[in-house]
Amino acid sequence: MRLLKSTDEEIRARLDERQYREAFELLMPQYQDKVFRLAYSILGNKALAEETTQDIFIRVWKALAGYRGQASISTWIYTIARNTCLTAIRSNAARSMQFEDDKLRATASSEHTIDWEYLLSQLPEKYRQVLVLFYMENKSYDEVAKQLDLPIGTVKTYLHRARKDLAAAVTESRMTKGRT
Amino acid sequence: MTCPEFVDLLVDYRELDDKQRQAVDSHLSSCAGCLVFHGALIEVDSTLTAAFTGLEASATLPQGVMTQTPIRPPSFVPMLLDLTGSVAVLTVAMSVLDVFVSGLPLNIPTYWAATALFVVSAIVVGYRSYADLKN
Repeated sequence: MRLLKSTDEEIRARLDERQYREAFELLMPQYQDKVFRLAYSILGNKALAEETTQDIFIRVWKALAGYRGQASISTWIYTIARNTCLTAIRSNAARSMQFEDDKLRATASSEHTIDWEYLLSQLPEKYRQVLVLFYMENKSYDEVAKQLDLPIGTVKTYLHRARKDLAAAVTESRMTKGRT
Repeated sequence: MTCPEFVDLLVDYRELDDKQRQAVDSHLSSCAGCLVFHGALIEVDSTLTAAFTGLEASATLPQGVMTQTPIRPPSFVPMLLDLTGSVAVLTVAMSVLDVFVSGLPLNIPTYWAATALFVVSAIVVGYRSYADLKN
């Protein structure tokens, strides 16, 4: 007999008993960072990702009574998250969606450093999402595949192309700077 | 093997078996171009690891969400729609069955009622699917 339930099982049990608030209070700490990272990998902007993560959880709360358990809790939440991000992209279409990151910008201050934000912005969107999420999720193919709803093989292919393109761009940039 | 082929293996280094790794290592010791690419790949990994690993949502996020989600339970509308849809589908089925089982001649009001119920159930089920899609 299993004595310890996983958090997802706990959440499902609360939902079965219609204890929605309790279920939501278990779900928030379990998924807030993962959902934020997923939103950031799609939106490429921290402030917008924060804002959208809030919207995602408000949608989750509103839809909680309608969760019928066909998909796992995580699959259900990630689907809401991706759809909310797509809505955010549409409503922020006028705003520049170039990839932005404070830590990457800080490293680009000197003349001989690489403009990583620019290089990431040059990658095809699907490669960049997989790449950023891969590093955020401690290099777990499985987690990236689950969050983006992609087969693991596709994740590996996108990651391969993204890292290869980036390394080629870095090599090119170093060689150009070496010549000047 | 050519340099572009070694580059592909280099990118997937952690997935290679021992034999492939030895081949890549031996190529790197004699090819300046691939060595530069290898350095760039290390730089990509270390920069992105430093920038993204362990990124967390802001500590104020839960508070922000909780203040915008009222304590009352979420809407029962989806469940109500499910119930209405099921009842409508059942009603249509029963009225159609009634026509065939009792062998009644064509009865215009019965068909009007069945059509109306069919439209209502289609709208309800359609709306439910749309709500699912939106979520």
